[in-house]
Amino acid sequence: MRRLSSKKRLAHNRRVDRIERYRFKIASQERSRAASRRRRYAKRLTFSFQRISLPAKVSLAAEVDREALLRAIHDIKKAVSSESVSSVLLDFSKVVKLYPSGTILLVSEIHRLLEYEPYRLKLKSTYPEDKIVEQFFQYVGLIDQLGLDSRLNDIDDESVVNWLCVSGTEGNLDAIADELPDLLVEGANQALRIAVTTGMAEAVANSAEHAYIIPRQDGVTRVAEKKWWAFAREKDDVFQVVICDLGAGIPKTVRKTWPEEAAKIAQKMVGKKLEDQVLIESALKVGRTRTEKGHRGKGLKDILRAVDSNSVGSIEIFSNRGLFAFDGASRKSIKRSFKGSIYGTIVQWSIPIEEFNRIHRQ
Amino acid sequence: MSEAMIEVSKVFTRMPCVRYRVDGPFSGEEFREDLLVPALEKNEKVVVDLEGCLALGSSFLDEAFAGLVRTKKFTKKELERKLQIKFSIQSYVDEAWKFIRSA
Repeated sequence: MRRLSSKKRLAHNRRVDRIERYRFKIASQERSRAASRRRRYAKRLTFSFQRISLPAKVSLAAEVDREALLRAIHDIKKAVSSESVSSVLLDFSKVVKLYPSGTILLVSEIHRLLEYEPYRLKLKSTYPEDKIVEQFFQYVGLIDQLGLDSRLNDIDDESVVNWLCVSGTEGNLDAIADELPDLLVEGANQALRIAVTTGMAEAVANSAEHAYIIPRQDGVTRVAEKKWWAFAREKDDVFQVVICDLGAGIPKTVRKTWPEEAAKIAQKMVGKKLEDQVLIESALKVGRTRTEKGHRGKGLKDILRAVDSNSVGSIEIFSNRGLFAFDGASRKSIKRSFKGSIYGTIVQWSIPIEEFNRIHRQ
Repeated sequence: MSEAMIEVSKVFTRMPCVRYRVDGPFSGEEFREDLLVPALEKNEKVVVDLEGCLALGSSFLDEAFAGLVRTKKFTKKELERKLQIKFSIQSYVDEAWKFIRSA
Protein backbone atom coordinates (compact mmCIF):
# COMPACT_ATOMS: atom_id res chain seq x y z
CA MET A 1 0.00 0.00 0.00
CA ARG A 2 1.28 3.36 -0.98
CA ARG A 3 1.84 5.82 1.86
CA LEU A 4 0.31 9.28 1.53
CA SER A 5 2.49 12.27 1.70
CA SER A 6 2.12 14.29 4.89
CA LYS A 7 0.31 17.06 2.98
CA LYS A 8 -2.24 14.67 1.49
CA ARG A 9 -2.68 12.91 4.85
CA LEU A 10 -3.57 16.25 6.46
CA ALA A 11 -6.13 17.01 3.73
CA HIS A 12 -7.61 13.50 4.09
CA ASN A 13 -7.94 13.90 7.88
CA ARG A 14 -9.66 17.29 7.45
CA ARG A 15 -12.13 15.71 4.99
CA VAL A 16 -12.90 12.89 7.45
CA ASP A 17 -13.42 15.47 10.24
CA ARG A 18 -15.84 17.45 8.10
CA ILE A 19 -17.86 14.31 7.29
CA GLU A 20 -17.96 13.35 10.98
CA ARG A 21 -19.09 16.83 12.02
CA TYR A 22 -21.81 16.77 9.37
CA ARG A 23 -23.01 13.31 10.52
CA PHE A 24 -23.05 14.53 14.14
CA LYS A 25 -25.05 17.63 13.16
CA ILE A 26 -27.68 15.57 11.27
CA ALA A 27 -27.95 13.12 14.16
CA SER A 28 -28.38 15.87 16.77
CA GLN A 29 -31.05 17.58 14.63
CA GLU A 30 -32.90 14.29 14.36
CA ARG A 31 -32.60 13.75 18.14
CA SER A 32 -33.96 17.26 18.75
CA ARG A 33 -36.92 16.68 16.40
CA ALA A 34 -37.70 13.35 18.08
CA ALA A 35 -37.57 14.98 21.53
CA SER A 36 -39.90 17.73 20.35
CA ARG A 37 -42.32 15.11 18.98
CA ARG A 38 -42.21 13.27 22.33
CA ARG A 39 -42.87 16.49 24.26
CA ARG A 40 -45.85 17.40 22.03
CA TYR A 41 -47.30 13.89 22.42
CA ALA A 42 -46.79 13.97 26.19
CA LYS A 43 -48.51 17.36 26.36
CA ARG A 44 -51.55 15.93 24.64
CA LEU A 45 -51.71 13.12 27.17
CA THR A 46 -51.25 15.42 30.15
CA PHE A 47 -54.36 16.58 31.98
CA SER A 48 -53.90 20.32 32.16
CA PHE A 49 -56.29 22.62 33.88
CA GLN A 50 -56.64 26.38 33.73
CA ARG A 51 -58.60 28.57 36.15
CA ILE A 52 -59.70 31.97 34.88
CA SER A 53 -61.08 34.48 37.37
CA LEU A 54 -63.78 36.85 36.20
CA PRO A 55 -63.50 40.44 37.52
CA ALA A 56 -65.63 41.79 40.37
CA LYS A 57 -67.37 44.27 38.06
CA VAL A 58 -68.62 42.96 34.73
CA SER A 59 -68.76 46.27 32.91
CA LEU A 60 -67.62 48.04 29.73
CA ALA A 61 -68.03 51.60 30.99
CA ALA A 62 -64.77 52.36 32.81
CA GLU A 63 -61.47 51.59 31.07
CA VAL A 64 -60.13 49.57 34.01
CA ASP A 65 -63.26 47.37 34.28
CA ARG A 66 -63.46 46.97 30.52
CA GLU A 67 -59.83 45.87 30.24
CA ALA A 68 -60.25 43.38 33.10
CA LEU A 69 -63.35 41.87 31.46
CA LEU A 70 -61.82 41.74 27.98
CA ARG A 71 -58.63 40.16 29.36
CA ALA A 72 -60.69 37.47 31.10
CA ILE A 73 -62.72 36.80 27.92
CA HIS A 74 -59.50 36.66 25.88
CA ASP A 75 -57.94 34.23 28.38
CA ILE A 76 -61.04 32.01 28.29
CA LYS A 77 -60.98 31.86 24.49
CA LYS A 78 -57.22 31.26 24.38
CA ALA A 79 -57.38 28.48 26.97
CA VAL A 80 -60.41 26.75 25.51
CA SER A 81 -58.91 26.70 22.00
CA SER A 82 -55.49 25.50 23.19
CA GLU A 83 -54.65 21.85 22.47
CA SER A 84 -52.58 21.66 25.64
CA VAL A 85 -55.46 22.68 27.93
CA SER A 86 -58.00 19.99 28.65
CA SER A 87 -60.20 21.79 31.17
CA VAL A 88 -61.02 25.46 31.71
CA LEU A 89 -62.62 26.57 34.97
CA LEU A 90 -64.47 29.89 34.93
CA ASP A 91 -64.13 31.26 38.43
CA PHE A 92 -67.15 33.48 39.10
CA SER A 93 -66.49 33.68 42.84
CA LYS A 94 -65.29 37.32 42.79
CA VAL A 95 -68.11 38.66 40.60
CA VAL A 96 -70.34 40.98 42.61
CA LYS A 97 -71.72 43.51 40.13
CA LEU A 98 -73.26 42.91 36.72
CA TYR A 99 -73.76 45.84 34.36
CA PRO A 100 -75.89 45.33 31.22
CA SER A 101 -73.36 45.94 28.44
CA GLY A 102 -70.55 43.94 30.08
CA THR A 103 -72.88 41.14 31.12
CA ILE A 104 -74.42 40.68 27.68
CA LEU A 105 -70.91 40.48 26.19
CA LEU A 106 -69.77 37.88 28.72
CA VAL A 107 -72.93 35.78 28.38
CA SER A 108 -72.90 35.88 24.58
CA GLU A 109 -69.18 35.00 24.40
CA ILE A 110 -69.70 32.00 26.69
CA HIS A 111 -72.80 30.93 24.73
CA ARG A 112 -70.78 31.16 21.51
CA LEU A 113 -68.01 28.95 22.93
CA LEU A 114 -70.56 26.45 24.29
CA GLU A 115 -71.98 26.00 20.78
CA TYR A 116 -68.76 24.29 19.66
CA GLU A 117 -68.61 20.82 21.20
CA PRO A 118 -64.82 20.51 21.76
CA TYR A 119 -64.95 23.81 23.67
CA ARG A 120 -68.16 22.93 25.51
CA LEU A 121 -66.55 19.76 26.87
CA LYS A 122 -63.67 21.78 28.34
CA LEU A 123 -65.69 24.57 29.97
CA LYS A 124 -66.60 24.27 33.65
CA SER A 125 -67.40 26.90 36.26
CA THR A 126 -67.65 27.66 39.94
CA TYR A 127 -70.80 29.04 41.52
CA PRO A 128 -70.71 32.82 42.05
CA GLU A 129 -70.43 33.69 45.75
CA ASP A 130 -72.78 36.64 45.31
CA LYS A 131 -76.36 35.34 45.43
CA ILE A 132 -77.77 37.96 43.05
CA VAL A 133 -75.08 37.11 40.50
CA GLU A 134 -75.89 33.41 40.92
CA GLN A 135 -79.60 34.14 40.47
CA PHE A 136 -78.87 36.01 37.25
CA PHE A 137 -76.57 33.30 35.84
CA GLN A 138 -79.16 30.66 36.71
CA TYR A 139 -81.93 32.86 35.22
CA VAL A 140 -80.12 33.13 31.85
CA GLY A 141 -79.32 29.40 31.88
CA LEU A 142 -75.55 29.77 32.21
CA ILE A 143 -75.26 27.72 35.41
CA ASP A 144 -76.97 24.77 33.77
CA GLN A 145 -75.10 25.14 30.47
CA LEU A 146 -71.76 25.10 32.31
CA GLY A 147 -72.60 21.76 33.88
CA LEU A 148 -73.59 22.89 37.38
CA ASP A 149 -76.86 22.10 39.15
CA SER A 150 -79.31 25.00 39.22
CA ARG A 151 -79.44 24.93 43.00
CA LEU A 152 -81.54 28.02 43.74
CA ASN A 153 -85.22 27.24 44.13
CA ASP A 154 -86.37 30.84 44.02
CA ILE A 155 -85.24 33.40 41.48
CA ASP A 156 -86.97 36.40 42.93
CA ASP A 157 -84.62 39.36 43.08
CA GLU A 158 -86.10 42.33 41.21
CA SER A 159 -82.80 43.14 39.57
CA VAL A 160 -82.87 39.67 38.02
CA VAL A 161 -86.46 38.77 37.18
CA ASN A 162 -87.15 42.13 35.54
CA TRP A 163 -84.78 41.27 32.71
CA LEU A 164 -86.15 39.99 29.43
CA CYS A 165 -83.34 37.84 28.03
CA VAL A 166 -83.69 36.53 24.48
CA SER A 167 -81.38 35.46 21.68
CA GLY A 168 -81.89 34.36 18.12
CA THR A 169 -80.43 33.78 14.71
CA GLU A 170 -80.75 35.94 11.61
CA GLY A 171 -83.30 38.73 11.61
CA ASN A 172 -86.10 36.63 13.06
CA LEU A 173 -87.93 39.25 15.10
CA ASP A 174 -91.45 37.94 14.95
CA ALA A 175 -90.42 35.39 17.57
CA ILE A 176 -89.89 38.13 20.17
CA ALA A 177 -93.01 40.18 19.40
CA ASP A 178 -94.97 38.34 22.11
CA GLU A 179 -92.20 38.80 24.66
CA LEU A 180 -91.82 42.57 24.37
CA PRO A 181 -92.41 44.52 27.60
CA ASP A 182 -95.93 46.02 27.89
CA LEU A 183 -94.73 49.60 27.52
CA LEU A 184 -93.41 48.78 24.03
CA VAL A 185 -96.79 47.37 23.02
CA GLU A 186 -99.29 49.53 24.90
CA GLY A 187 -97.48 52.78 25.84
CA ALA A 188 -99.45 55.91 24.93
CA ASN A 189 -96.50 57.46 23.11
CA GLN A 190 -96.73 55.41 19.94
CA ALA A 191 -93.98 57.34 18.15
CA LEU A 192 -91.50 56.57 20.91
CA ARG A 193 -92.39 52.92 21.36
CA ILE A 194 -92.31 52.28 17.59
CA ALA A 195 -88.95 54.09 17.39
CA VAL A 196 -87.46 52.09 20.29
CA THR A 197 -88.73 48.75 18.98
CA THR A 198 -87.57 49.65 15.47
CA GLY A 199 -84.13 50.56 16.86
CA MET A 200 -83.95 47.22 18.65
CA ALA A 201 -85.11 45.44 15.50
CA GLU A 202 -82.54 47.28 13.41
CA ALA A 203 -79.73 46.28 15.78
CA VAL A 204 -80.89 42.69 15.35
CA ALA A 205 -81.30 43.11 11.58
CA ASN A 206 -77.80 44.61 11.42
CA SER A 207 -76.45 41.36 12.84
CA ALA A 208 -78.13 39.54 9.96
CA GLU A 209 -77.39 42.01 7.17
CA HIS A 210 -73.91 43.28 7.99
CA ALA A 211 -72.25 41.98 11.13
CA TYR A 212 -71.23 38.56 9.82
CA ILE A 213 -70.25 39.46 6.25
CA ILE A 214 -66.55 39.22 7.11
CA PRO A 215 -64.71 37.04 9.66
CA ARG A 216 -64.58 38.23 13.26
CA GLN A 217 -60.79 37.80 13.55
CA ASP A 218 -60.84 37.27 17.31
CA GLY A 219 -58.46 34.36 16.83
CA VAL A 220 -60.85 31.74 18.14
CA THR A 221 -64.37 31.68 16.79
CA ARG A 222 -64.84 29.18 14.04
CA VAL A 223 -67.99 28.86 11.98
CA ALA A 224 -70.54 31.06 13.71
CA GLU A 225 -74.27 31.27 13.40
CA LYS A 226 -75.56 34.76 12.80
CA LYS A 227 -76.67 35.32 16.35
CA TRP A 228 -77.84 38.16 18.53
CA TRP A 229 -78.59 38.53 22.23
CA ALA A 230 -81.00 41.03 23.82
CA PHE A 231 -81.60 42.04 27.43
CA ALA A 232 -84.36 44.50 28.41
CA ARG A 233 -85.75 45.69 31.74
CA GLU A 234 -87.58 48.46 33.55
CA LYS A 235 -85.65 49.70 36.58
CA ASP A 236 -85.66 52.90 38.64
CA ASP A 237 -88.09 54.62 36.24
CA VAL A 238 -85.83 53.85 33.29
CA PHE A 239 -86.37 51.36 30.48
CA GLN A 240 -83.07 49.79 29.47
CA VAL A 241 -82.46 47.58 26.49
CA VAL A 242 -79.16 46.20 25.30
CA ILE A 243 -78.48 44.18 22.14
CA CYS A 244 -75.26 42.39 21.26
CA ASP A 245 -73.87 40.68 18.18
CA LEU A 246 -70.50 38.99 17.90
CA GLY A 247 -69.87 39.96 14.30
CA ALA A 248 -66.95 41.83 12.76
CA GLY A 249 -68.09 45.14 14.28
CA ILE A 250 -69.41 48.31 12.61
CA PRO A 251 -65.93 49.85 12.00
CA LYS A 252 -64.89 46.79 9.98
CA THR A 253 -68.17 46.23 8.12
CA VAL A 254 -68.53 49.92 7.24
CA ARG A 255 -65.39 49.64 5.10
CA LYS A 256 -66.95 46.76 3.16
CA THR A 257 -70.57 47.94 3.06
CA TRP A 258 -69.83 51.61 2.32
CA PRO A 259 -66.37 51.61 0.68
CA GLU A 260 -66.80 55.06 -0.90
CA GLU A 261 -67.94 56.71 2.33
CA ALA A 262 -65.14 55.01 4.29
CA ALA A 263 -62.61 56.27 1.72
CA LYS A 264 -63.99 59.83 2.06
CA ILE A 265 -63.63 59.70 5.85
CA ALA A 266 -60.09 58.36 5.50
CA GLN A 267 -59.24 61.28 3.15
CA LYS A 268 -60.45 63.78 5.76
CA MET A 269 -58.36 62.08 8.42
CA VAL A 270 -55.05 62.14 6.52
CA GLY A 271 -52.18 61.85 8.97
CA LYS A 272 -54.46 60.63 11.75
CA LYS A 273 -55.47 57.13 12.75
CA LEU A 274 -59.00 56.31 11.54
CA GLU A 275 -60.49 55.36 14.87
CA ASP A 276 -63.45 53.07 15.43
CA GLN A 277 -65.73 55.67 17.05
CA VAL A 278 -65.44 57.89 13.95
CA LEU A 279 -66.49 55.00 11.73
CA ILE A 280 -69.42 54.16 14.04
CA GLU A 281 -70.71 57.73 13.88
CA SER A 282 -70.37 57.88 10.10
CA ALA A 283 -72.15 54.52 9.70
CA LEU A 284 -75.12 55.94 11.59
CA LYS A 285 -75.26 59.00 9.37
CA VAL A 286 -74.70 57.45 5.97
CA GLY A 287 -77.89 57.58 3.98
CA ARG A 288 -77.58 54.98 1.32
CA THR A 289 -75.12 52.53 -0.04
CA ARG A 290 -73.60 52.00 -3.41
CA THR A 291 -72.55 48.41 -2.92
CA GLU A 292 -73.18 45.58 -5.29
CA LYS A 293 -76.12 44.61 -3.07
CA GLY A 294 -77.71 47.89 -4.03
CA HIS A 295 -79.52 49.64 -1.25
CA ARG A 296 -78.39 48.21 2.03
CA GLY A 297 -77.50 50.49 4.89
CA LYS A 298 -80.59 52.65 5.29
CA GLY A 299 -81.49 50.97 8.55
CA LEU A 300 -78.60 51.89 10.85
CA LYS A 301 -80.01 55.37 11.41
CA ASP A 302 -83.09 53.67 12.91
CA ILE A 303 -80.88 52.79 15.88
CA LEU A 304 -80.57 56.49 16.71
CA ARG A 305 -84.16 57.48 15.91
CA ALA A 306 -85.76 56.81 19.33
CA VAL A 307 -83.31 59.07 21.14
CA ASP A 308 -82.67 61.56 18.32
CA SER A 309 -86.18 62.25 16.94
CA ASN A 310 -87.90 62.13 20.31
CA SER A 311 -85.14 64.03 22.18
CA VAL A 312 -85.31 61.64 25.14
CA GLY A 313 -83.04 59.15 26.87
CA SER A 314 -79.61 58.10 25.75
CA ILE A 315 -77.90 55.55 23.55
CA GLU A 316 -74.46 53.96 23.73
CA ILE A 317 -72.99 52.05 20.81
CA PHE A 318 -69.90 50.00 21.59
CA SER A 319 -68.30 48.45 18.53
CA ASN A 320 -64.81 46.95 18.51
CA ARG A 321 -62.57 49.60 20.14
CA GLY A 322 -64.99 52.51 19.76
CA LEU A 323 -67.86 54.02 21.72
CA PHE A 324 -70.38 56.48 20.34
CA ALA A 325 -72.85 57.81 22.92
CA PHE A 326 -75.68 60.29 22.35
CA ASP A 327 -77.94 62.01 24.87
CA GLY A 328 -81.35 62.88 23.40
CA ALA A 329 -82.29 65.69 25.78
CA SER A 330 -79.00 67.63 25.66
CA ARG A 331 -78.24 66.60 22.03
CA LYS A 332 -74.65 65.99 23.09
CA SER A 333 -72.57 63.12 21.81
CA ILE A 334 -69.45 61.51 23.19
CA LYS A 335 -66.95 59.57 21.13
CA ARG A 336 -64.29 57.49 22.75
CA SER A 337 -61.63 54.98 21.85
CA PHE A 338 -60.60 52.11 24.12
CA LYS A 339 -57.46 50.00 24.14
CA GLY A 340 -59.09 46.59 23.70
CA SER A 341 -61.67 45.42 21.16
CA ILE A 342 -64.95 43.75 22.13
CA TYR A 343 -64.98 42.05 18.69
CA GLY A 344 -68.63 42.83 18.04
CA THR A 345 -71.31 45.44 18.59
CA ILE A 346 -73.40 46.30 21.65
CA VAL A 347 -76.17 48.90 21.52
CA GLN A 348 -77.71 50.11 24.76
CA TRP A 349 -80.71 52.43 25.11
CA SER A 350 -81.88 54.03 28.38
CA ILE A 351 -85.25 55.79 28.14
CA PRO A 352 -87.26 57.29 31.05
CA ILE A 353 -90.43 55.21 31.48
CA GLU A 354 -92.63 58.31 31.85
CA GLU A 355 -91.79 59.23 28.25
CA PHE A 356 -93.63 56.13 27.03
CA ASN A 357 -96.80 57.41 28.68
CA ARG A 358 -96.70 60.93 27.26
CA ILE A 359 -99.45 61.49 24.69
CA HIS A 360 -97.85 61.78 21.29
CA ARG A 361 -98.86 64.74 19.16
CA GLN A 362 -97.82 64.83 15.51
CA MET B 1 -112.71 49.73 -9.63
CA SER B 2 -111.19 46.86 -7.62
CA GLU B 3 -109.42 47.74 -4.39
CA ALA B 4 -107.40 45.51 -2.05
CA MET B 5 -106.31 46.09 1.52
CA ILE B 6 -103.18 44.46 3.01
CA GLU B 7 -103.12 44.67 6.80
CA VAL B 8 -99.45 43.98 7.40
CA SER B 9 -99.68 43.20 11.13
CA LYS B 10 -102.44 40.65 10.52
CA VAL B 11 -101.42 38.91 7.30
CA PHE B 12 -97.63 39.26 7.46
CA THR B 13 -95.86 40.28 10.69
CA ARG B 14 -95.97 42.82 13.52
CA MET B 15 -92.19 43.31 13.27
CA PRO B 16 -91.39 44.13 9.61
CA CYS B 17 -87.72 45.12 9.62
CA VAL B 18 -85.25 43.13 7.51
CA ARG B 19 -84.53 43.73 3.84
CA TYR B 20 -83.85 40.49 1.98
CA ARG B 21 -85.11 36.92 2.40
CA VAL B 22 -81.56 35.82 3.27
CA ASP B 23 -81.60 38.19 6.25
CA GLY B 24 -84.48 36.35 7.91
CA PRO B 25 -88.21 35.74 7.70
CA PHE B 26 -90.77 38.52 7.03
CA SER B 27 -88.42 40.61 4.92
CA GLY B 28 -89.29 43.53 2.66
CA GLU B 29 -88.38 41.38 -0.35
CA GLU B 30 -90.76 38.62 0.77
CA PHE B 31 -93.60 41.08 1.39
CA ARG B 32 -93.12 42.74 -2.00
CA GLU B 33 -92.85 39.55 -4.04
CA ASP B 34 -95.46 37.43 -2.25
CA LEU B 35 -98.13 39.97 -1.29
CA LEU B 36 -97.67 43.43 -2.75
CA VAL B 37 -96.85 42.70 -6.40
CA PRO B 38 -99.71 40.16 -6.84
CA ALA B 39 -102.15 42.61 -5.20
CA LEU B 40 -101.01 45.51 -7.39
CA GLU B 41 -101.25 43.34 -10.52
CA LYS B 42 -104.80 42.24 -9.75
CA ASN B 43 -106.25 45.49 -8.46
CA GLU B 44 -106.62 49.08 -9.53
CA LYS B 45 -105.81 50.30 -6.04
CA VAL B 46 -103.99 48.72 -3.09
CA VAL B 47 -104.00 50.06 0.47
CA VAL B 48 -101.12 48.86 2.65
CA ASP B 49 -102.18 49.34 6.27
CA LEU B 50 -99.22 49.34 8.69
CA GLU B 51 -101.37 49.88 11.80
CA GLY B 52 -100.66 47.32 14.52
CA CYS B 53 -96.99 46.97 13.60
CA LEU B 54 -94.72 47.21 16.65
CA ALA B 55 -91.65 48.19 14.62
CA LEU B 56 -91.05 49.51 11.10
CA GLY B 57 -87.52 49.23 9.81
CA SER B 58 -86.24 51.52 7.06
CA SER B 59 -84.66 48.47 5.40
CA PHE B 60 -88.10 46.83 5.17
CA LEU B 61 -89.85 49.99 3.90
CA ASP B 62 -87.20 50.63 1.27
CA GLU B 63 -87.14 47.09 -0.06
CA ALA B 64 -90.91 46.55 0.05
CA PHE B 65 -91.90 49.81 -1.67
CA ALA B 66 -88.88 51.30 -3.47
CA GLY B 67 -88.06 47.74 -4.57
CA LEU B 68 -91.21 47.86 -6.79
CA VAL B 69 -89.52 50.58 -8.86
CA ARG B 70 -85.99 49.14 -8.76
CA THR B 71 -87.20 45.76 -10.02
CA LYS B 72 -89.09 47.64 -12.78
CA LYS B 73 -92.41 46.08 -11.82
CA PHE B 74 -94.06 49.49 -11.53
CA THR B 75 -93.15 53.08 -12.30
CA LYS B 76 -93.27 55.84 -9.70
CA LYS B 77 -96.28 57.36 -11.49
CA GLU B 78 -98.16 54.06 -11.46
CA LEU B 79 -97.50 53.69 -7.73
CA GLU B 80 -98.69 57.22 -6.99
CA ARG B 81 -101.96 56.27 -8.70
CA LYS B 82 -102.38 52.72 -7.40
CA LEU B 83 -100.72 52.58 -3.96
CA GLN B 84 -101.82 54.02 -0.65
CA ILE B 85 -99.76 53.52 2.53
CA LYS B 86 -101.59 54.01 5.83
CA PHE B 87 -100.11 54.46 9.29
CA SER B 88 -100.99 56.69 12.23
CA ILE B 89 -97.46 58.14 12.38
CA GLN B 90 -97.15 60.08 9.15
CA SER B 91 -93.33 60.25 9.21
CA TYR B 92 -93.10 56.51 8.40
CA VAL B 93 -95.50 56.93 5.45
CA ASP B 94 -93.48 59.92 4.23
CA GLU B 95 -90.27 57.92 4.55
CA ALA B 96 -91.70 55.07 2.44
CA TRP B 97 -92.72 57.54 -0.29
CA LYS B 98 -89.33 59.23 -0.09
CA PHE B 99 -87.69 55.86 -0.77
CA ILE B 100 -90.04 55.26 -3.73
CA ARG B 101 -89.32 58.67 -5.25
CA SER B 102 -85.55 58.29 -4.86
CA ALA B 103 -85.50 54.72 -6.23
